[in-house]
Amino acid sequence: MDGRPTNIATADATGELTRLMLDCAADSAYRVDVRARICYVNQAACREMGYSREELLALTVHDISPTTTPKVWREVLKRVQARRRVAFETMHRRKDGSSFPVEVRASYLQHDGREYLFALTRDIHKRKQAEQRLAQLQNELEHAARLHTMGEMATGLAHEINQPLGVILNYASVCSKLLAQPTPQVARTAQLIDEITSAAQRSGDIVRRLRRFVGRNDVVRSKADLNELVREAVSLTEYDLHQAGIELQLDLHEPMDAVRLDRVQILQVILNLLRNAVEAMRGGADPRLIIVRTRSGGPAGVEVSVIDNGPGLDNNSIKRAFEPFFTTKPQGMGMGLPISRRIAQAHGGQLLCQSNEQRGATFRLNLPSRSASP
Amino acid sequence: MKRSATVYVVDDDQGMRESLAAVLAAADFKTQIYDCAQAFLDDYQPSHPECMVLDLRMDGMDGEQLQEQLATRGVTTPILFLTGHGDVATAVRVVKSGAIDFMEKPADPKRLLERINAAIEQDTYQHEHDADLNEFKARCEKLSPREREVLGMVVEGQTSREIAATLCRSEKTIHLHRARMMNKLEVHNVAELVRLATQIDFTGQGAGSY
Repeated sequence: MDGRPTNIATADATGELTRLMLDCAADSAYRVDVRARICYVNQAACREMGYSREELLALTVHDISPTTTPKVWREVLKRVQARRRVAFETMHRRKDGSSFPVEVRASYLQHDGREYLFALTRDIHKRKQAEQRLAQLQNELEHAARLHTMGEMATGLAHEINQPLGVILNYASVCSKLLAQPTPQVARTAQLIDEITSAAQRSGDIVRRLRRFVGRNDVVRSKADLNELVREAVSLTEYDLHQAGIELQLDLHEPMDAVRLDRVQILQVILNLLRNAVEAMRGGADPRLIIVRTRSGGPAGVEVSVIDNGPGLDNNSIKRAFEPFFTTKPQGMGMGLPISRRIAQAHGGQLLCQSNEQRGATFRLNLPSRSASP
Repeated sequence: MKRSATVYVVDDDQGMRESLAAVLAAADFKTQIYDCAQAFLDDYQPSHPECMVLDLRMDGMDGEQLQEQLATRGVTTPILFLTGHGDVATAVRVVKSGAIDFMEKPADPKRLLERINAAIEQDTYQHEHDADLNEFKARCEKLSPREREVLGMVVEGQTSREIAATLCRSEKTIHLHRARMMNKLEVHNVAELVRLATQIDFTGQGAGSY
């Protein structure tokens, strides 16, 4: 390996051959005893860690993997002894102090009455970077889709904000008139100021909801009540429903099991389903009805269904509904449902669609409630 | 005049409706508020001078349809539209159909009151004018068939001599008919006569054809 010819016709020929083969391997190889002392390393390990073989053989697992504390080490040992083979990810630290993520596949060995761990490790920082980049791109895509949704809803939202602003203007003008009178009508003015306050709060609520929805693009999971998100999505679509002459029925199960979720992402999914339903019913027959139903406690965890009585989906649409760029809307991007499904899956859940027996279609979002850790 | 003016408000948003009513009450208008077009139509009794402030977009019958309904009922009360979202196309359409103006929400109450005052003024004038015409119409009913015939010809621009020739009567007789007719109609000159007769579409082609 070092350029000199190697004589393998020695006493320990088989052992030597094995060592030579391990030195050819791209992965790093370690043999470690139960006290975490490094007993063997291959060349790849030396190269990767920046130590000489002698230096590494004087170290323990704790030295090259600071996150592997004695407690963690005992657990790893226990798992390897029980299962013979384990795979896990951890961090390694080079001689120069820099760290990198590794994937470890470890096996349990017994030799001469002593126990060892034989581990092959692989630097996975590139894969981790790619995963992070992918997650970041997905977040950016979701964020772009939310902005797009907001753009489509701008008219309705402007109306929602303008309405209370108009109320404020009106009452404020009355107040100044009442106070300018020779005997100011203080009681009536106070009453109107209360009206102004609640109208201002209504405008503020709408703006706050908007900002929450489009403001950030990082993922934060917390315990949440699905019903609350349904109500929020409904409040954002109220104007569109009203304009389209669609009646909305809420059939919300109380109480819902709490679920750990990203509020903005799940709101995005529910909003998307609601808006799709509104869109699907354009030009449909009356009476137009959307039912939003939530269920909890079943084997599927918590679920929310958006049921419309529009024209429904043909087989082709059902098959392709979640494909990127598949859309039946003239202005559609075809990204809403694929993004929604990815969000559902990232939460360990599912997003499904089916045609109803009578009229229309049902989209159902399931989220596992066991992920609701206290 | 303004003190007794009535403003009808039709808006399906409760906050908007009630706050508008407060603004109008503070400006000493009589106000009647409705949450939908149908309720307003069912209840509406003219009480001039008056004007209407209508929301353009409403559930059920919208502002534009309400305007049409009022037009088919011959209601000429000035209409001021409030539009929620700069729906310019519809706003232009309703103004072309006779609405006096439209304002985008949120409307400045001061400007809104200015427009309402202008609308009330217009209605006052319109209503007095309508009353004049109605009286003129009633007076026309009292004309004899021959006087009516002469009126029709005068409106068409014929001179007394021409009328005399057409009716085979002396010019003097026609002068007499004309004088009696103008006396009954309480008009002072031919210009006034022609203006009023044209406004009630008096054509003179047979009795009561206007």
